[in-house]
Amino acid sequence: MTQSLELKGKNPTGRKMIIPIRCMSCNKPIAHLWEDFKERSANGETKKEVMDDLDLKRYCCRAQFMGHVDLLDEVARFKRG
Amino acid sequence: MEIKLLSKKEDGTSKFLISGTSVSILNMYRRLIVNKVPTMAIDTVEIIENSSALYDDMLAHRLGLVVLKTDLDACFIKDNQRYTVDLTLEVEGPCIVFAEQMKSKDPGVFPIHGKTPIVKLLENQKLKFVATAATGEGKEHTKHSPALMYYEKYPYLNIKDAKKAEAIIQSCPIDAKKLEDSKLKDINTHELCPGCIGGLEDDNHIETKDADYLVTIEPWGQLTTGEIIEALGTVSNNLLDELAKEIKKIK
Ligand SMILES: [Zn+2]
Repeated sequence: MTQSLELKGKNPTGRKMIIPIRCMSCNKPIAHLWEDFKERSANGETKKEVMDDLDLKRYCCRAQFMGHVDLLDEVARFKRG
Repeated sequence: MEIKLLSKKEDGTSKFLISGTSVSILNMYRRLIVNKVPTMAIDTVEIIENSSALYDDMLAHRLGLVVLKTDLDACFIKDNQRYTVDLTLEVEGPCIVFAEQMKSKDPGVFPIHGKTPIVKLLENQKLKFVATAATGEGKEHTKHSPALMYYEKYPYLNIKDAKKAEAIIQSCPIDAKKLEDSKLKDINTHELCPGCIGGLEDDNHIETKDADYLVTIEPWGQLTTGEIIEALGTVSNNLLDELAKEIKKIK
């Protein structure tokens, strides 16, 4: 299986496991902002404030942050198929 | 053509007022920046050990998108020889693997956003690979694109009624709004500010001139805005030379 599911765009599990390196729409690198975003929004700041402060101004990038769930911790405990 | 730098942010995002040009010229520049200015990106990954939850190919895909600082001189492909640099990584969990942990053979080529998470490792999980970064152009893969460029007609605000100008200042949700002589002083506040645009009610207060454009270049980090513009010159010169050569052949 040299041509992977990821290449075919058919890997639904990969999508929500870990924050994408770049925004899927506009190509802006966003992954390095995630930890900061997660920590600050957990500490009571609104998501809007944090995203404005991190200079995520387009709604494509903001959507990546709003919709993301870190599932890698869960998935990593099971054996890879 | 006249170019004036209006503002520059910390991350390099620059706004220009370019007068005496047209959409077709600006779009050519935009396409050259997106498609033809070369940068480095990870191209090939040899995975020696990967017991993380992500598949090898997903890992390689993520590594490819990592933004690498690029030396402009090394970037241009000379005699069909691509410049390559090896980056190695060897870590054992539990930890988050960050891009900055990759060891580069060339100190000039490194991940610009060091805190980019590659993968999370649990206990007893290991990751070891050799990644090869190479120069390339955005038309091959978007990971090589150095920046985003966009433009719009330069909005000249012209509010004659002082009371109205005052009301707009009050209604603007961005406190940086500064109106002086009924003209917007800080152009940044114009952008994406529905508060003040909504306050205008009709378009009569925004004047545009045919040849004046507000151009934004938003670099991703491989090259600075200055370097991108420099490379843009080289790229377009090279392409014109090529075109001239081809035309001579026809004769
Ligand atoms: Zn985006």
